[in-house]
Amino acid sequence: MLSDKIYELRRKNGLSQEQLAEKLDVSRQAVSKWENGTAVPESDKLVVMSDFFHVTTDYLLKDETVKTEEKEEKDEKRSDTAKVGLIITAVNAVLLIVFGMFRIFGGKAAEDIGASSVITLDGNAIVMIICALLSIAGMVLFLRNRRK
Amino acid sequence: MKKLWILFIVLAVILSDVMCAVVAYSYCDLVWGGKYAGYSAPPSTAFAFAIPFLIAIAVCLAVAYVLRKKGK
Repeated sequence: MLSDKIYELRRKNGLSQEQLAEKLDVSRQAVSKWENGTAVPESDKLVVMSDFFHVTTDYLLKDETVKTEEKEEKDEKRSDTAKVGLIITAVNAVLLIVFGMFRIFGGKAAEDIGASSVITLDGNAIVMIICALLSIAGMVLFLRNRRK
Repeated sequence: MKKLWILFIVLAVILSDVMCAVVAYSYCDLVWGGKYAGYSAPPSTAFAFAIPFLIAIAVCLAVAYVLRKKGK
């Protein structure tokens, strides 16, 4: 509802009723009536409010939560980051497969371990561990930024 | 693109196959090396190669699950 939205936007911006009234060039009582739902702001005040709070008049007037341009941009960015996360995961999984095959057909793996009494990490092993860790990073990126 | 979860399932399956191959190959080589080439590391050391693969398999399965759930 419009009254709830005015209240939420005012609180979100850290303004008192008086401060908002000053910005919109109305009385504090007018803002109070809008928030209680006993009065409705005039159309020109609605436009000023939408500019001030960086929301659309559609968002203020309609019941569905219409996104602002800023929020849409943010959502798009998050979606792109989620896609990047997916790509990182997939690429690292493929790299791990390739290095695994290289390990077998390279044939020096066991020789390297057996030649010393402790487990040493050679280049292949380090790359495999990095691939595994990067795939975790890709998954985290994807899970945090996906559209729910 | 809606069937992306299948790709990650396939990747997980291939990773598990490669993991088994790498671990088995290394294990056999270490057993042989211990008997004939004087290797000092125990054959069970070969199982350490499974760690990065297990991590990647878990990640692929988790991503596939989330994508499948999202697609429903």
